[in-house]
Amino acid sequence: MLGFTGVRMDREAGPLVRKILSAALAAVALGAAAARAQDISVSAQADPTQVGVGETITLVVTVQGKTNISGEPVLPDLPDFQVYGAGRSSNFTFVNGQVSSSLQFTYMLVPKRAGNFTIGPITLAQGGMTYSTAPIAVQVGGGGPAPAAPVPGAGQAPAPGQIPVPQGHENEGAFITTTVDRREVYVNEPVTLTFRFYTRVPVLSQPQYTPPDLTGFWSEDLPPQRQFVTRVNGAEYNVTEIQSALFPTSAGRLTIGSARLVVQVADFGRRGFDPFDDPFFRSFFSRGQSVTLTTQPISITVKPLPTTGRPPEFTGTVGKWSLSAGLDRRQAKVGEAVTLEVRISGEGNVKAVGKLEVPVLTGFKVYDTISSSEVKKTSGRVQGVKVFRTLLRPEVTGTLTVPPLKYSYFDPRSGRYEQVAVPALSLEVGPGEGAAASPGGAVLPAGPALSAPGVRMVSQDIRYLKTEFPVVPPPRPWPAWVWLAGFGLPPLGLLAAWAWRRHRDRLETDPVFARRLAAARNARQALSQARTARQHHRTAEFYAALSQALTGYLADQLGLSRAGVTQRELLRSLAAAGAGEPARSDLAALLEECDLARFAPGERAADDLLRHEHQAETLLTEFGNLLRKEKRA
Amino acid sequence: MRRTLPFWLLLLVLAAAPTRAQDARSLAAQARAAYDRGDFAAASAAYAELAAQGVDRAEVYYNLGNAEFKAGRIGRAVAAYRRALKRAPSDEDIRYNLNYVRGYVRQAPDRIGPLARLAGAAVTRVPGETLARMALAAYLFLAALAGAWLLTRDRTAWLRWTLAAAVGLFLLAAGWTTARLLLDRSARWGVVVSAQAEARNGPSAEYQVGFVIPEGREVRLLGREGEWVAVGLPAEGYKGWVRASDVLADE
Repeated sequence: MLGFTGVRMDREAGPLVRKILSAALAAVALGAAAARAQDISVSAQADPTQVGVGETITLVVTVQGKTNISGEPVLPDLPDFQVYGAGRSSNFTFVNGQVSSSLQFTYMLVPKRAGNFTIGPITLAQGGMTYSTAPIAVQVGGGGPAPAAPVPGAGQAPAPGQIPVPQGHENEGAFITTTVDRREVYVNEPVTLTFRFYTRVPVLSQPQYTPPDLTGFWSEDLPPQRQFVTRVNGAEYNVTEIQSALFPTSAGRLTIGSARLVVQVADFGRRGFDPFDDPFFRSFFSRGQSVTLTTQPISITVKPLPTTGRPPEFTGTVGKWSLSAGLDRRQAKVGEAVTLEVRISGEGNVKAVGKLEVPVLTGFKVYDTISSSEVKKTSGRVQGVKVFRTLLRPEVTGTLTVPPLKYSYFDPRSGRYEQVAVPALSLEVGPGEGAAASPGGAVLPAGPALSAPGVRMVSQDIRYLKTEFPVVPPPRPWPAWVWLAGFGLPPLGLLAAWAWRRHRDRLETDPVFARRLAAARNARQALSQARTARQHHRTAEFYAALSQALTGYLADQLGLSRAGVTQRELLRSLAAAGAGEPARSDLAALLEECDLARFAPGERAADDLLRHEHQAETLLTEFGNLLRKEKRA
Repeated sequence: MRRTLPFWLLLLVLAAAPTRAQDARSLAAQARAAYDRGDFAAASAAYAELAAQGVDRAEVYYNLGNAEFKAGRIGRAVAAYRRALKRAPSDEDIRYNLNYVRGYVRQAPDRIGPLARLAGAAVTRVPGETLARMALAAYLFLAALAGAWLLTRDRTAWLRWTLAAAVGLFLLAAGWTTARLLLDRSARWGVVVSAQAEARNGPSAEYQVGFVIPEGREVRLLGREGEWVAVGLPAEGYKGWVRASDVLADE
């Protein structure tokens, strides 16, 4: 960069005598006017000073002074350049009643042919004085149109032909465009979206940018933001460019929406923009106008990934990728942690790289895989690496192997599925400290038997099928009634046993109760004997048995002595028990008949015996019922 | 003909029974052959069919678990082994393979202590049906001794001690059975059978995904709402809703 300042023209004057002489001559020639204008300085800067034909040189003329500057610099005749005014800026300060101003005029010079040229001197008339800058030498190289000259501090300018010339923006002071590098892509194949802001008018405030609607895309910004100068239909524009990579997430027709930029620009009225036509203070006192700029939506056709040739392990990764893998150590002990690191690196949407299927690893206990990704954005492309780390724990000694790993992706450039692989990895596993691996993966205490070359686990797997079993339905569970009977009957049995036990105890402790229980049985036996005697015509025996049945039964029931009971006692007890007179009379008559037949033997008719037997049975039944009722009462 | 109809029906039933058994044996042979030649999907389908035909034995579910594991379906393998273990809790092969397959699933360490673990293992080592039969046998033995105690006049020391032992035996069996029944009924479990089950904050896809459960993870089933199942991970203390198709419940 070269810079020359008008007030420094005498800097190279040399000896003191010449300086004094020059000062004296100036004082005589310029007089008081020179004294007023002595604080004004004019300088010019050209950047760059070495360009190609068609490139742009930025020429900045700066005027500084303590007085009000009203003039404009006058450029010399530059037939070898096309000259455009790019605006001016000013700065005023008021200190202690004195004005100090600084004014910058910017011009764009585009060389028409190659060669060495001189710009200047540039002059400025102010207060009757003319100030001028030193000439600036510029070297213009040959060749075709070169890239646009970068603005100081801006990013790298695009290559020739990279920027499409926007159409339909003639005579506009500012406009924006969005462009894409392709309109038909595969799912997850990147589309580069470029947003450009063209302006040739001063921007008065920070523009407000609303990015386009990117529904259906995974978006990655592609820094840095670039600034450069380019020509559109012969006019020079300052361009700000923002790029981003868009990855469509599904097939179909997707739309990139309109971008919007609200910008505050200098108000140049309706006459169009012509910086040379502007009075100096017009822009200074202008409040500017707000302009809303929009772009057109862009349609993108997203093709689905082909189904033919798709490998089974394909997980949706698109781009160009390579695979590498390694273990963090080559030797380990049983039970120690070893990390298997697999790196998938390349170009594409790193964050969308599908998971890596770790094959079944024999002899290892495998823990979950943890993945991380690192994205790099260089030269407008999204690159990076996705790292899968799997923690392994060897469980057996010997040489363990991680089988070859494969990874498939879709390469949109070739339109084919590609597969990358890494060879098998091996790990030498020694016995763990003070322990040896067991088949079940548990660590057993080491002992003399285990330290000897005994069983060595080579591989590990699940146990084999069960082959010997009856291929029939299993025994059915017991039905409910079995459980009900099993748990319900024992209490009933125990209840019965308890009752029987109690009954037996009472028989043993209560003779009256025992006699009562035995009374009926004894009476039946006596009646049976009587019946037998009657059938054999043994009359005395018949009546003796009949008498025994009656007296024995009644004595047992009434609690009287069987041996010593008299007829009178019986009748009295029966009367006390509530027996009726007829029954008692019948009993007394029958007992007397029995006594008579026993002690005064004689012939008796068979009908009499049968009648007396029936009468005895009737009496026994009648008295039995009576005594049961009485006992209940 | 009408009179002989029951006879013919009986004959048909008797003839069909051996045919079914023969089919089951043939299916088992096919399953094993498929397993041996590496066609694990066919083997698992055959073992599943065998179980569906009523041969729901521990051995069949064990073999089904093997085939599912070899076919790469860890979740279904764990579910099959769990069913096998329910039928034969003391079978070491089932326990070994289940633990082996569990090694492929990242499990948070259990929060239960060693004593509780030991007690749980003791309770679950015997099938519930067997425990109930043991309890019934102890009960009948106790009842018989109690009956003898009631009826006999000579209550010797031998009888007294035997009766006391029978009471202790019965209480042990009853307690064991009750613990098993309570354990079976206290919690229902299932296994995640999809690759990654997304657990959401509610029974709908509208809810946010809270956590993701890997295949093969055993989860506690807490409830159901339409096509969504509430699951819990006791070790982590997480609860969420997953699609019912993501989980295979225990029987």
